[in-house]
Amino acid sequence: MTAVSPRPSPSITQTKVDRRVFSDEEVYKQEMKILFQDGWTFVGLEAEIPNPGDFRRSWMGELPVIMSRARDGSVKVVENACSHRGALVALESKGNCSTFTCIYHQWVYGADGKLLGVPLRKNYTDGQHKDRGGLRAARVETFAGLVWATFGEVEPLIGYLAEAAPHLDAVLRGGEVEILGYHRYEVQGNWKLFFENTQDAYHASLLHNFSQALGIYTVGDNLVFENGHGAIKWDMVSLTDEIMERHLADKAFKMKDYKLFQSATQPGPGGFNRVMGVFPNALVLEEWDMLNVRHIVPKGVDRAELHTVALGLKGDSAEIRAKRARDYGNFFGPAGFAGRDDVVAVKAVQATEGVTSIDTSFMALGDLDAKSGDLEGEYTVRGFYGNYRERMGF
Amino acid sequence: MVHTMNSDTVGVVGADLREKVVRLLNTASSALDEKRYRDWVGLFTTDGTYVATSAENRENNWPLAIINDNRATMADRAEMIDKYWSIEPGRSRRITGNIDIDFLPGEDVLKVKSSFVIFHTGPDGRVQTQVTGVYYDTITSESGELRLRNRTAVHDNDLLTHEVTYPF
Repeated sequence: MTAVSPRPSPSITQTKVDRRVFSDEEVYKQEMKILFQDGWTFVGLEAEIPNPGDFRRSWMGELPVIMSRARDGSVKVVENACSHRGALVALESKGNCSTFTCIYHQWVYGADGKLLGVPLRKNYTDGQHKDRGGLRAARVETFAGLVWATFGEVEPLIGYLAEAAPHLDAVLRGGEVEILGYHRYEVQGNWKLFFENTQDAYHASLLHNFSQALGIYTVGDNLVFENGHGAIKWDMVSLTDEIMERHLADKAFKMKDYKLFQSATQPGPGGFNRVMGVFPNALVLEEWDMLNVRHIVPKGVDRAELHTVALGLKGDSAEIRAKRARDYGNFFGPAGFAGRDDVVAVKAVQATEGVTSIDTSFMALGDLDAKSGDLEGEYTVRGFYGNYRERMGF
Repeated sequence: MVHTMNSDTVGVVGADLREKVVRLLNTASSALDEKRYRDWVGLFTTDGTYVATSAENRENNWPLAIINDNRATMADRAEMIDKYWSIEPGRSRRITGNIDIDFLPGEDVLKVKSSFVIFHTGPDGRVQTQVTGVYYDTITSESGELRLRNRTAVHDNDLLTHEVTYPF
């Protein structure tokens, strides 16, 4: 018999990523365990469950979970799978309840996952139903209103977020946000491709070529943080009608409605526009009046869903809420001037995964000796994959 | 003004007016199916607005939409479609039905509700249901023609499975 040698791990160097990480089912399965269960994973916002009893369904990778607010005000995350036959316990996407009851055989659980009741319990020999336990509960910590969960033995969340923490706190104003609505859409690409897209600053003037026609370029920083997190940031400058009209006079794209670039609110501390990627699955953005958090939910090696929540700040007027929502939807949504093209680009990359001669993804732009740099370098993309390689043991 | 539209009786729309409404809805669908976005924009009044949003956002009174356009942003979107977006080859087919026309006495608008289904054929040649939903239209007369003052397209899909180039 000929021994079958194990396949070599995907090779990830500083500038080249083996594209099997976007198409290999085994790699994907390992990611779901190592990154999305054993490590800290973003599951939602505290603002989504403001009151005791509030719950919302979410996912840790592909694992269905329930994020809820317990009576004592704490946030719980439990696996959404009945310990009896494994049926989903929460079927509705959100709601308010004191207990979770499986529809199939009425096993009842508390918000913390504890098994509270089982029908016909006296008919179980030796109380065997007790051995099934409750809903598997994750360890939960929150920061700036972001809810993170893990089933692993990992460091406290604040240490994991590292240098990203003050930026998150600034953008999300310590979590004092309110929900303005959701976009949920499918990206026909591996989950990492969308994370990478948001941290690749220089595609903005190339893929989104209307920005060249508008003559709007940004100069700023591409910041790489510990643990694969990153931020693109630049000064938030609100452009007046006078500036815009003068600017657009000789431009190819004479945009008629440019209110997007005119901020009606104060930016977060520092006065920056910021696009942040928080490893492995959270994207947090503030640009002018637009504020949002995107949850990347993997749905197979070649597909992911983006669950985006647009945010306002508590105390915003109705007018400001409307402007924030309109600007965000029209610019970054699935029909947005910029957002639409990102979906198309990711799909175009995934379409050739595993079937063409291009077996590595190339990311060498910028100073390779520098950790961070300007927006015309692939610093944060390299930072993401460097951490990915380390975490995955490749 | 809609009082020139010949309502038979209060709250009931005559056959001629109904036919005109159906023709407007069909013309709007055809323009988008045939990728004539600027023609579709021309079916709106000069102060016309268009919103595409999810049933979830509407039911929760959340202001976020996927498109929230006035005539200025419609003009900008036309530029994006014509010059700047990368658009995959494909076809779409809009089916509109269950048309319910409400004509309120003393008002110069018709309130029209209809259901829509959009099928999309992508580069792989397969037909998929892109989106289903309800149009809530406010229709009025401008320069002797029926025009959309507002269209709010509320899609049922909790998940959109295709990038959105043309409005629903």
